[in-house]
Amino acid sequence: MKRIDAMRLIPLFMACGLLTVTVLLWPSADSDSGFLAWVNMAFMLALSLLLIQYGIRLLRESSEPRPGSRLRAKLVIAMIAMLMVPAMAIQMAASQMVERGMDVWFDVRVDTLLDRALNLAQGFYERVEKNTKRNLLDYISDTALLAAVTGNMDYRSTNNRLNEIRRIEGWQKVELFDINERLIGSVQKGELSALQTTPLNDTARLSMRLGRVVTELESHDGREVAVGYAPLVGATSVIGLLRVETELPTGVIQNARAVEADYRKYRQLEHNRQRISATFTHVMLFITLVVVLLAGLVALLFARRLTAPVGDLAHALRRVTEGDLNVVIAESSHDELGSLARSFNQMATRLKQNVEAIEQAQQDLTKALDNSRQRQYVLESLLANLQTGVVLVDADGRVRLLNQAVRDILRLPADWKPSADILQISHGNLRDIGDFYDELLHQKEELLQREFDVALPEGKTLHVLARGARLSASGSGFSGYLLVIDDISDLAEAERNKAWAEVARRLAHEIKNPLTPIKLSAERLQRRFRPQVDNTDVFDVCTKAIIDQVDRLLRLITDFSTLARMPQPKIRTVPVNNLLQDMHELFHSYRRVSVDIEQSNTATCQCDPDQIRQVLINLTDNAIAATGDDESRSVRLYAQTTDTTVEWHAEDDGEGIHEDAALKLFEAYYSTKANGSGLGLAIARRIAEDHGGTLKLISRADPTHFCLTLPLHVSHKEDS
Amino acid sequence: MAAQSPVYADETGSLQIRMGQKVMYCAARMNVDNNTLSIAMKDGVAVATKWSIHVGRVRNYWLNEGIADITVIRHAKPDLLTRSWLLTDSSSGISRRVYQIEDAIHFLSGLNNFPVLDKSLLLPDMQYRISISVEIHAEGINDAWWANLWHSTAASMQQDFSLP
Repeated sequence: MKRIDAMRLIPLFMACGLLTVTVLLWPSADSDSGFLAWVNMAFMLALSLLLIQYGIRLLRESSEPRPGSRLRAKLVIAMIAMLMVPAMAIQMAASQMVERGMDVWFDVRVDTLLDRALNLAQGFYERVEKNTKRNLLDYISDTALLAAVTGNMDYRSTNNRLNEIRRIEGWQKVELFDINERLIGSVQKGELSALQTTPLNDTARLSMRLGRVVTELESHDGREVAVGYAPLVGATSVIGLLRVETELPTGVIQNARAVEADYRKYRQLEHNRQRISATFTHVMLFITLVVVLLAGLVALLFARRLTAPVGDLAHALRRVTEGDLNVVIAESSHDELGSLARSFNQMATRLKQNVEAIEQAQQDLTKALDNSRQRQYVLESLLANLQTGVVLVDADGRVRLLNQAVRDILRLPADWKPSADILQISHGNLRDIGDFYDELLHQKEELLQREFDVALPEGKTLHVLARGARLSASGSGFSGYLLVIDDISDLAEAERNKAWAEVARRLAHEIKNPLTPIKLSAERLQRRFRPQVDNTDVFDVCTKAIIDQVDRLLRLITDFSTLARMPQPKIRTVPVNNLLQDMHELFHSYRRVSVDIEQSNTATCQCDPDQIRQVLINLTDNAIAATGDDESRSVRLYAQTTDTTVEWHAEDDGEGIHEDAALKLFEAYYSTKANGSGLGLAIARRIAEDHGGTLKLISRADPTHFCLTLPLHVSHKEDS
Repeated sequence: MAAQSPVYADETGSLQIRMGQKVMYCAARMNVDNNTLSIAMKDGVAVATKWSIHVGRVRNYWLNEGIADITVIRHAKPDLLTRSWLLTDSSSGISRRVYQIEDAIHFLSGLNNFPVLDKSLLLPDMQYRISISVEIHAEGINDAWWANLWHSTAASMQQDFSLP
């Protein structure tokens, strides 16, 4: 599961907090919270949505944020948090102060005081009204007024009466109306204010209709007048109306109205107490939100300005980490950030120089390594293709290197491997190798050369030439010993053969010369003196023995000469079956010799037929000799061909060949026969090798089996 | 010839239309808690009710067509010294003083036989709808433009009608 960065959840947390505050402060339906409350709600909801959108965008972003953005976000959050704490504290303190202030403003004592003041003012008005009503009651049945209303009094008398009443009661104005609302008389204090009379209003008519004294207040030009209406009751009904005015004292009225205004204002404030508190809270909240928003914007600008160099630095570091060293950041300011930028640029420059130097060194090293590898490859190829065995031993006597040739020559066992101690692994038939190394190790000379024989596991003996050299540590840094092993068995044998051939040639030359006169003399003695001797049998035996031995010596000398001067084979194309046919014709007198000629075999081979015939005759002679006179033992000759070779096989059921004799069978002058020269098989193998083929003993007994293998085609055809 | 429509009534108020010879009248009354108004009015707080009357022709699949929009404002200004209330009707300009708070509340909370519009504006066989909303303003009505942006409605009534 992908790990979510806690920083990315902060906007969502802030949105949750803001939504919680919004829910808590949501205006209720019945409270007249005002427009500002809804503005605040909309403001907070908008902020919450912005934060949620920003938080979701942060969560969905999979890539790494831009360098410096986290630091910027932290700074903005820290600044807003630093501002939020005192703002909230101030708001809470202010709310408490407002609540306390309201408690003081709307104190019970103030309430009572205002009630009493209003009661006083109301009491004044009531007293005025009561007085007016009481006084008016005295004139409801006034005879003079009734007479005036009924038209039984003249105008002057009426006015005198009204004037008297006005003076007695202290009224400002007195008017008399008949039942038809016609003015009968009117007197007033001071000069006349208007020529036309004021018509009766609803209150006056109500007074007449109900027959009751009624008072009301009227305002005229900033002054207030208490107006009283008294119906004049005749014998049976109301027949007129007396209207009086009493001007209220200006000072008292002003004070009373001031008290009323204050009371009204106070009550209005009291009614709006909750709204005032809510309004104050929302104003403070609005101010807080605006301040937070502005502070956030300012913090964002400030943080952006502050973190821009840090972001550039982080971005540059990331590029350096990714390998781009061509990074230069602006050194705009002269403060610590500018110093940091300069240091970074210097570091990047030095890093680039160092990297370039390292790359150059790496290139040199790579080139040297390539050369070294090339040399090593050449050396390894050389060693692998070298027919000479090479063993490299370090100063501690441990094998460091040995090529395939030495393994092939010496048939090295598996423990011969690099890092093996050469003295410990040189045991058995390889002890001479260890001795050679030990001698090289302890001698003073740098070089050592020895020849010795190494017996191979299959019984063969190798004659090797070992040469050793001490390698000094100067120059290559490696000190040790180099052993070079050469198989010189063939070379030694060739030298030995050459020496023998020379011996044979000289011996034949020296022996052959007297043999012919000896033989001729013996034959002459036999022809001339046989009749003269007494015992012819003894004479015949002796002369015959001389002649036979001389012949034997001549054959021996001939073989020696043949071995010494083996002629080059005269290659021609010969059918395989022809050679078998020759053998059949030669040995058909022997019943135990069977030559298997496969008529369908039309294969030919390229060889010297005389030499190959000599080889086959030699093999057949040996087989016949091995079977003795026992006719039950058979000799078989047959041929086989493959795609590349032709094989002649000679098998016999004789006594077989001893194991020791088998190892030396093809060596010259080794024979198991009493009168054998020991050269037949040696010559036969040499003929086979001269043809590029082999002559091998397949099995020593049951049956004794020889196989002559020749290639079907030779590279050089030499016609006679 | 006069015809009265059925009385529309709900928890906020009642409304009834009466067709006169040439004028359509309405009688509306708002159900308001008397204490709400009486406490304020006894404390000297001026109270006004603003009656907004809208008559429209009902249209299907489209907004109703406006026929008439009438606004009636009724004021009750208390006089604490004389314990009376000066009632003023803005549509007629008539004012009177009452000494009983019930009279003042009755004046504020209802329209009686109020002429709405001339019947000639109405077509027969057409469906019309009259909607009345009432706002209560304590301390008078603020005439500033922004004061009308937000105000809660105390009651709203509506009734469909057509010419008989």
